[in-house]
Amino acid sequence: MAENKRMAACLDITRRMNPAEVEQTQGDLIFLAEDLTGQILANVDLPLQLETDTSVGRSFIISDYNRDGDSYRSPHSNKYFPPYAEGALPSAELRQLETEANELMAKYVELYYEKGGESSAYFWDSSDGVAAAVLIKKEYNSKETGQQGTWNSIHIFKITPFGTGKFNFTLTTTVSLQLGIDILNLAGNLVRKAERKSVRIQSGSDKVRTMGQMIEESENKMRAHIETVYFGRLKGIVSDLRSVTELKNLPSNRMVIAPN
Amino acid sequence: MSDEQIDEETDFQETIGRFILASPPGEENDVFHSLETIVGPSKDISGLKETYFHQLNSEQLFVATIPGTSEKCLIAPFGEIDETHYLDPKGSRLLTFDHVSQKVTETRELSEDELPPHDAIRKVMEKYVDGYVLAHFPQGVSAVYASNSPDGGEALVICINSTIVKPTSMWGGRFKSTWVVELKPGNATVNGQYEFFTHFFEAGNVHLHSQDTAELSIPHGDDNEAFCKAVVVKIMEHESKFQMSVDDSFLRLSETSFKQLRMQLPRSKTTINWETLQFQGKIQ
Repeated sequence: MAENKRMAACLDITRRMNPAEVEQTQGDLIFLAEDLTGQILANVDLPLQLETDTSVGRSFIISDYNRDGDSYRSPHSNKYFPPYAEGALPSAELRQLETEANELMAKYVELYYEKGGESSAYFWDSSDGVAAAVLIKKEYNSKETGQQGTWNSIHIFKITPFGTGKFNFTLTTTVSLQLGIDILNLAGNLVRKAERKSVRIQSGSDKVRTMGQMIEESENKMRAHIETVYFGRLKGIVSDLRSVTELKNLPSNRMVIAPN
Repeated sequence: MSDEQIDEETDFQETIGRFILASPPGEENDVFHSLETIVGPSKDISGLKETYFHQLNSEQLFVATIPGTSEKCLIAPFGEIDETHYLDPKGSRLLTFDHVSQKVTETRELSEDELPPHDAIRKVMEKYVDGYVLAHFPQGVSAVYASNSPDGGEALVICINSTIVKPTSMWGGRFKSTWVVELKPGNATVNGQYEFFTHFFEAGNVHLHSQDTAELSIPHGDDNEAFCKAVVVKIMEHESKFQMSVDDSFLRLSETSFKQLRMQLPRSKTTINWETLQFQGKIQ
């Protein structure tokens, strides 16, 4: 109980600190609550990083979802990098799903993110079904425009059987977006939940396709929401704090300082 | 304590301090409450609260309320007499301020000989700053302090803080600026720093940070009225220019980076036909 409260407090702090400095926040929290290290690592998402699968010469996204010890499992070859013989592997059936999901998500990323988009999907058995993480990452840096940006989306699925041949899908999507130019830095995470109940599933392909549809829908909605929050709400707050033009209904006896 | 224990204790204190000082506008008490929960009852961090809330209140130019009134004043390092006493130059008052509860507990009128130095020009500056803040900050609070420049000459420090905290709308924000005006005959040097910090936390956590600095030089003749007005007009122009460049940056980021990162729709301008996409996957 005390542990739950302390973990909730760690997450409360994480939700208040600058998302652009989440590595520092995570490190500081672990320093204050060493006994909660595992939970902090699992619940505080760091910016997605890439590792190279040297056996096939392709990159993949590393995260707590494909980590075992200090090694990360590649979705391409199912091998750990750096090599780790005892690293946990998914069952053959899950691995089949995972392979199919990775192929499909690569196509999805090509369509919505084009050049430079990366994706990785990882599956594991959960207490009441199957769970999966689909990770997407894209960066933009331009000397010409002086802008830099990073998009990370993390999709966590829980897929549970619901009667014969049917499944419930729940999805929690977190999009982390950082944008910077000269004097302005925006950094944030937004979270959205979605679910599809009692979906008729006849094959692994059906399962993976449902996941893809849910990811597309969720990302499209979140992108629109992010646009409203970042470029609408935040901009609005700035002008609530200070007005470029003179406010209305000012007292007439005030000292006028408008330039002559 | 061994050297190692001392190092560990220093790291601990600095970590607590880093979290408190990074609190978004109006959230320092929530942050501290969570820190207390994390470290647990075996470790008393109330002493650190005093230290770091003092630093936080000073750095953020905390907006305090005069007890029994709706009048606001700033808690700024330039008005600090000692840890618990601050000048309120506008009200010619000495405030007793409790950093932990963030409340003014007592006020006392300043006597004639306690008034800040070069108060005549300070008052003129204050008049123009008040006019500016009233016209451009719906919830702004300002103060003008008498001070010394690094080379020992006379100076004024203008502080502006506009903080709005709306927990029910899931956001808080602050604009603050500090301008040091060196009162040299001939040309006065004016150094400013200004920033926006906003936090939006509905279904997430989004920060905006933006800051900049400026150095101005303004002719300073015998006419204090003309000089103070010229200084405040320049400050207003710079802060407006800064705000407009923030607005412009929003526009540029939304038109370039944001679109480059993830498109609204694929080039086909329609959402994906997943059966087809899956089929394409299989024939390759």
